[in-house]
Amino acid sequence: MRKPKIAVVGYGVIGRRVADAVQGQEDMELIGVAGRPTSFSLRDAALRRLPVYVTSPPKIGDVADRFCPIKGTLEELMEQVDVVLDCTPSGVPEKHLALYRRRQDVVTIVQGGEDHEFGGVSFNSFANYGEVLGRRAIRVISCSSTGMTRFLYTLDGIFGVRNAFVTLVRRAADPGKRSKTPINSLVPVMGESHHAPDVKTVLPKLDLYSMSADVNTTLAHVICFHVDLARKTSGEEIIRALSQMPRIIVGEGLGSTADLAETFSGPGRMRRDRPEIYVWTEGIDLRGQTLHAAISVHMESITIPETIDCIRAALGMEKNKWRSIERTDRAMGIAKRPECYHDRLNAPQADVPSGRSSYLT
Amino acid sequence: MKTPVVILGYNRVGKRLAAALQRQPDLRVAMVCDPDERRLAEARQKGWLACEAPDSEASQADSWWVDCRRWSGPEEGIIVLPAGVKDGSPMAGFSLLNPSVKTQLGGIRVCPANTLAYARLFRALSRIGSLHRCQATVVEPPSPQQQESLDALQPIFDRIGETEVMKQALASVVSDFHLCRVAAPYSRSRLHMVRLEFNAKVGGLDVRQALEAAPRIVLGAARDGFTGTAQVQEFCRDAEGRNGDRPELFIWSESVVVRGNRVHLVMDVDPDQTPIPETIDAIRLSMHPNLTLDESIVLTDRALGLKLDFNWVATRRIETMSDELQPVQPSGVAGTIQP
Repeated sequence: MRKPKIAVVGYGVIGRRVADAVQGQEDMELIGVAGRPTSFSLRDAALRRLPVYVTSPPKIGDVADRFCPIKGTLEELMEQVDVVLDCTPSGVPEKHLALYRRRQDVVTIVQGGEDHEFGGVSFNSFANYGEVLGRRAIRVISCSSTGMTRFLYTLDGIFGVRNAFVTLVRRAADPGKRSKTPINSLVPVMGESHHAPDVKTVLPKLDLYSMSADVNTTLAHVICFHVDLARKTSGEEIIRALSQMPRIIVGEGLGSTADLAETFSGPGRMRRDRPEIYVWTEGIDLRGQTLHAAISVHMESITIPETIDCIRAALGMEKNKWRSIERTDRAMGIAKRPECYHDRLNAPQADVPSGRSSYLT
Repeated sequence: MKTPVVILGYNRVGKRLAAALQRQPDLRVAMVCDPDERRLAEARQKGWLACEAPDSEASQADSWWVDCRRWSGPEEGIIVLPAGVKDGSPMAGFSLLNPSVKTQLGGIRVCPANTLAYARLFRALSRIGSLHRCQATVVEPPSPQQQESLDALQPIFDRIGETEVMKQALASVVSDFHLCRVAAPYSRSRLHMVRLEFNAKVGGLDVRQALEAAPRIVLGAARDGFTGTAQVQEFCRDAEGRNGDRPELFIWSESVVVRGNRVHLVMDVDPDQTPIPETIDAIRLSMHPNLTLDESIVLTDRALGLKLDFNWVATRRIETMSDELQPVQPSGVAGTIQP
């Protein structure tokens, strides 16, 4: 079977990680990355010996002119691809849309900075894997929303979620983007933050409200949950359920996002990435049927495995989401015990309705 | 004749309390005590009679003592000892939810800033309906015991005792209270993201009006330039007579979202300043058994000029902004609070 040809447009925080992840998969092929000729990220791509394309012809002195052997333009790249992963900043993919639409058979996948309306469908591997088959424009939900979805999907499937109030204490900027960082100030989002509506694009039946504030750190987000569960349970049962889920690490003793960054900086953790969400065991606090908990989301890397799954889901390369999830996780070095995937293979693939018993019970 | 008050501890809270007491019509600072020489010198420079420790028990017989030194740990708070009451006597907690201190014989523990903030909020909103639940997350600086990176967020799970004390203090109005804490490299205030649940549906306009009318709560707007905590602090630094202080809760009006029986809002609490008005109330109520809490609030807030600066902002906004703000009636100027 021919491997689908993948192009990455925008080689920044997300793009470079997605490119690495695609290269690590056996069933797809990265054929090039594209970026603005003035972007230093193209130099980084060239150093990694990736085929580099430019969105416009480079001028003398541009980064692309100084550092990169250029293979061609984005238009030329588009002629060869099956899937384009547009990882450019919010609003930019819209500008590329006319070019992408010249080829009706190309699948375009964008990140959570774009609106749900970009393609009319949003994606999360756990929540709605089956919904994007055959779609030509798909959006992977944003980093915090991905973390919230993994956590709430797990709880909803097993215990049922009646409603959830979620507060996000967000790092104000990625490490390389200092200009966005407030210094000694907290900046709240006014009204409901975009996260709850974002999660509802993939889990539409959840009763959910989210609030958010930006804080002057860069390492990771901390997300606090107040969740009314539909049935009685125990803290141990919740910890067990979360521990058995792929892409969720349940840990203890790591006090802060700095501790997490240090812990996940060893071999196999390229760029100190943590695509899994981290759940603090000591934060699991069950009062009656209300669960209070805190997780951490590494915003730079959490959507990468979902983006890879999205390729398989859109092209119909793998019908069973758990097989795709396992395949992605193994290639990325974040796989859990085999039973965390295999026990779910025969479960219904449709979304688990809110409050209903799950594939696990 | 003004009642003499001795302040024990002339640090962040003590010095603000001394300045606030001096503005009250019926109270005066008799002495400030602190073991630190530098702080004593600062107190003397301000014109206070200052010494290392209060001279004798005798002075406690005719003056109120306010102890601002116990400002950490689960039992934190400002201790008010009315004249003749010895340290170690039974303590009654005080916030705007339990003004019964005038009937107590012992001392008074004015609750810490976060508790006082929720007490103000609950008091304001319980006038429009019955509250039963509050869930919130606060972003706050790490405690002195925590050693934290300059670039980290740290969820705090080990201060259950503190939250339990808080819960008890608020239980008369809200039976189900839960606060998540996240420490951040940020020093100037505490930012709370709050969900409140009423027993029945409430109207958005009612909520807004209740908050506008409530004492010691300011509704400000991001569209008026208050986009983050830094802008609120800068406004207070610039306002005449405030010197950067803000005893009021600051609630962003755009953050107030009502969905059925649930109200969501974001509020910012100044930890050093918030307890000052309530401490003055505690002194005054224990001094004058016939005074009501509402009357004390009016006296205190009028003397401190609370809400005035921000009400100028609110009034100005309503004058200049579009129709969407027309239903909102600015009220709650300290002088107009109805007992």
